[in-house]
Amino acid sequence: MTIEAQTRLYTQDDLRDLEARPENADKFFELIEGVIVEVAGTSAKPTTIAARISFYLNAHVLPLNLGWITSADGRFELGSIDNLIPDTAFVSRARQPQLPDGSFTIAPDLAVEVVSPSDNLRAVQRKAKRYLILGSTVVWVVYPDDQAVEVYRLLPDGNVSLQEVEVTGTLELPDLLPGFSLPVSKVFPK
Amino acid sequence: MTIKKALHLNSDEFSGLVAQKDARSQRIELVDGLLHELPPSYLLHAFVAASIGIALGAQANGQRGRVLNTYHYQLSPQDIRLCAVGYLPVDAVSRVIVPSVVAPPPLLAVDVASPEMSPRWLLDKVRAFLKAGTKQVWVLYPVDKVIDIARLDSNGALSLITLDSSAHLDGGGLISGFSLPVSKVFPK
Repeated sequence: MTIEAQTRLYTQDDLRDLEARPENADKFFELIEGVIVEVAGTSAKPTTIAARISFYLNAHVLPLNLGWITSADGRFELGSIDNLIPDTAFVSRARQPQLPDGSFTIAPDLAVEVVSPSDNLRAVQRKAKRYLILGSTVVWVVYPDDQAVEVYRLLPDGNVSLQEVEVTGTLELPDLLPGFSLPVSKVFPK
Repeated sequence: MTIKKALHLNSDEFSGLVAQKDARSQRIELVDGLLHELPPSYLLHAFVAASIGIALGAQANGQRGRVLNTYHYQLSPQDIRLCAVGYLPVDAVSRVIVPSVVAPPPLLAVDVASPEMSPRWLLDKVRAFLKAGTKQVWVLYPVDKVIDIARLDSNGALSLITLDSSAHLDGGGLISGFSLPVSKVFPK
């Protein structure tokens, strides 16, 4: 939700000021390309799905010490006008050798967003593309009701590529996590 | 959001529904053999669709192409979808049987995103057109005043480019000489 009619790009300081207000104590906000957006409250299905993906990513990443998996309160403070909170994300140890004390200041290698039916396609796509422009390699956009995942990547010409993986398919990350394989059916609760 | 009716139809039955005279029958689609009712077309949507349709029509008619406004297209035996503007070669139009209310897949499909459409619904629709042979789908976002140009790449993935109000639409290799500032598609 946009906070107010905007006449300029908001910054990290604006976001901090907004979050410091007492009336916002229980709220989460993101800053996406200079626009402050309130993060909608999560319902059972999306948060369960995000937790499952996080579990399977951790099951691959932790034993091999490949990096960091964040959950839905993991912040990515990226430059002056982006502060994003993916539902889960992977940051490789190669790009981030040590965990930072505060927010991550590099884009995750993989960002995962779980969509609710009320979400707006344009907003979903804008956020996915923003991750890619800011340095993410892959974005998974998960559609619980359709039991499908859209895999977003940035093409060399600046276009965005979307590959649909249906419930019978498998999510893989050969360029980020070789050997990782997650059947989409395992992501969705029965 | 579309309303999925628990009603399985074949394409002839669906065409019969479309041929009915009431306006409600014009906002339906057949998706995987199931009847879907679309949200109403708002004034803003009608305006932006008309802006594109008029501009495309002016350029296309000299190039053995035809532009259809808000028409149904048969994408497969189980899929008949509606789009706001379609561009077809003249010979494809001439093959349409006169009483038919359904056309073959257009070369170019233009649709307008509605707040009631779920994200997946729109993406599925874009893919359905492209897999049926449509070369490009333009999705207009009236609120954001941007246009997504969708194509299938050689791997079968959907390729999207977003044009904002500073950009120009071109015919994408389908309609030579077509050029329209995105800013002219949306009302000030």
